Amino acid sequence: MKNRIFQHPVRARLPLLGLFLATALAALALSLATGSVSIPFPELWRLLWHDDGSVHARILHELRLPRALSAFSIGALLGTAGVLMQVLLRNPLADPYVLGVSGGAAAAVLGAMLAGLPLAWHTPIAFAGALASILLLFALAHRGSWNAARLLLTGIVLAAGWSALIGFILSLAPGRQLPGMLFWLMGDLSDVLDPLLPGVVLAASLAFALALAPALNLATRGTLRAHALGVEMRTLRIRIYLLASLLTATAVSLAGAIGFVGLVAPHMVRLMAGSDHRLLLPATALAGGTLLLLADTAARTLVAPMQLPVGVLTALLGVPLFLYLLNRGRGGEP
Amino acid sequence: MSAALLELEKVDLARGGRLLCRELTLTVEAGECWGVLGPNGAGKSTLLQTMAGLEKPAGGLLRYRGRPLGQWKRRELARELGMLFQLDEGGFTTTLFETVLTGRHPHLGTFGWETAADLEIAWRAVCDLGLEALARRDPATLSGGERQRMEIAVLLAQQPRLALLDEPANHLDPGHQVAILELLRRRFSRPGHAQVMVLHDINLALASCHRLLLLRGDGHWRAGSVEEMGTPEQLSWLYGCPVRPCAELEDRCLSFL
Repeated sequence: MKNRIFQHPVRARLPLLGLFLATALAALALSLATGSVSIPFPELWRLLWHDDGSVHARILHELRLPRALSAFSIGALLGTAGVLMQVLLRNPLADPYVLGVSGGAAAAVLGAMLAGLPLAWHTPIAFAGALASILLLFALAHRGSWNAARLLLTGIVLAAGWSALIGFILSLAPGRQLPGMLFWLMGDLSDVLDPLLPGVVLAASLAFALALAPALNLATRGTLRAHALGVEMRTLRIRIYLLASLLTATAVSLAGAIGFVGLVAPHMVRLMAGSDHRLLLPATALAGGTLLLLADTAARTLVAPMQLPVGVLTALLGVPLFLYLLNRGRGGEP
Repeated sequence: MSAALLELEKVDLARGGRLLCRELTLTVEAGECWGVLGPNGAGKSTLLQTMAGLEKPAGGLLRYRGRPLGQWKRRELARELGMLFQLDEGGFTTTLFETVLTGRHPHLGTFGWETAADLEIAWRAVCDLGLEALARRDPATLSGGERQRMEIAVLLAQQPRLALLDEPANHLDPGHQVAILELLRRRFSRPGHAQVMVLHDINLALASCHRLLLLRGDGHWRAGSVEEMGTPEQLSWLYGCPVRPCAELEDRCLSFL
């Protein structure tokens, strides 16, 4: 017991990050190797560094690598957004998809698609949609104090409202546009090929979130306690709003409404690594990335040559977990 | 030498549109231990939160070490002033020791990692409260009294100059009540330190405080030394029911009729 004093309880768990990183790399290798054509690992390793112009090399460099990297970074965005929303609402059940934030972003993007706005507008419009959805959630659910049940209900009703709006937009959409819109809506990674935007957003927000990590740790203990220990909660909340909206919006505008990564990834990491955000944030980014990468690999190989929308798979995984957390009792009343 | 830590000047307290306390004026000086007594809903917790700068008073001015409370940065203030809350809010899965470590937050830098000294201070707080064996437990699995001791350990780890304690004896068995009030007294009677605590047990208040503030919740209040305020007359005025001394246990023990 004595030497506990000298070892930092969180720093002692940092090596776990290595484990998450190794898992992520293994998932990446698996994803690059499997598909309609499987590429053996030794060849994969060689082709990764030497583009010899062969068919395998072209599949790797033009299709699988960009797709795998964007799947990974979008999963990481969603996982991080989940952690931030959970602090904001002090509830492990908070997830951008469940609470309608993704829905707000998706409705905004579909509206933009219908209006024929160029692709470059999708992310800023999604951001506006996500932000509007979070603000609406808070304005409607906050009555002097936070009530977990009220918040969840409000979020779920908002999500239903967004999906009604989405249905409205879809019914207005010309038949030619409809299949693309629907597939995108269910969460689809087959079109995202440039991992640069999600990668940059991820790196910047993760750095920013890590700077907030000690304050986030206190925020989970309640507004007054955090306040009394020197955290300016108003500023912190606004920062989390903006950051969570940006993360969700980036993910949604690129890959559609992929649900439950923000719920599953933080939950897995908390079980293994605890709730300190200095460790939780980077570990969740890795776990969320790994999760979506594996889900996407499954989505494009399970019923090949057909592709499943990846959002369908994450939801099949996430819904049971959500129900389990809710029924365990602690989830509903954090 | 006595130095003013916290000064209240004609402070009005209100809750839900009802005035609880009118023009409260008092000074908490270094070395003092104040007890706040009053019936339920008299504004005791509101007073502490106002003193901690967590809530704005309905009127009047508060100064901490000469500077209006509103002018202090939250972080600076958190190094000076600590608060023990009565509300019980669970959080996410964590351990008792990591929770106590959050008390060091106002002393950390950005990207702050607690230093060996911070760990030492937090661990000493855990030991002072006799929580060593529970250090790795999830606070959600602790009993009410254990959680209360953990909250006090967080406060000790914070090392404030002025402690504002909302019912520190809550959930504690009589043995722990005496031991922990004694621990707090030792800690916050050091030079430059002071404490203000809300108590429900009159006898504990009489035994551990130098000065008492009686809040009746209807706008009226009385404040003074424990000798002036701890009399059956004053306490009967406060609670609106007769209080008499318990002769067998000297006259420092009071009981309700």
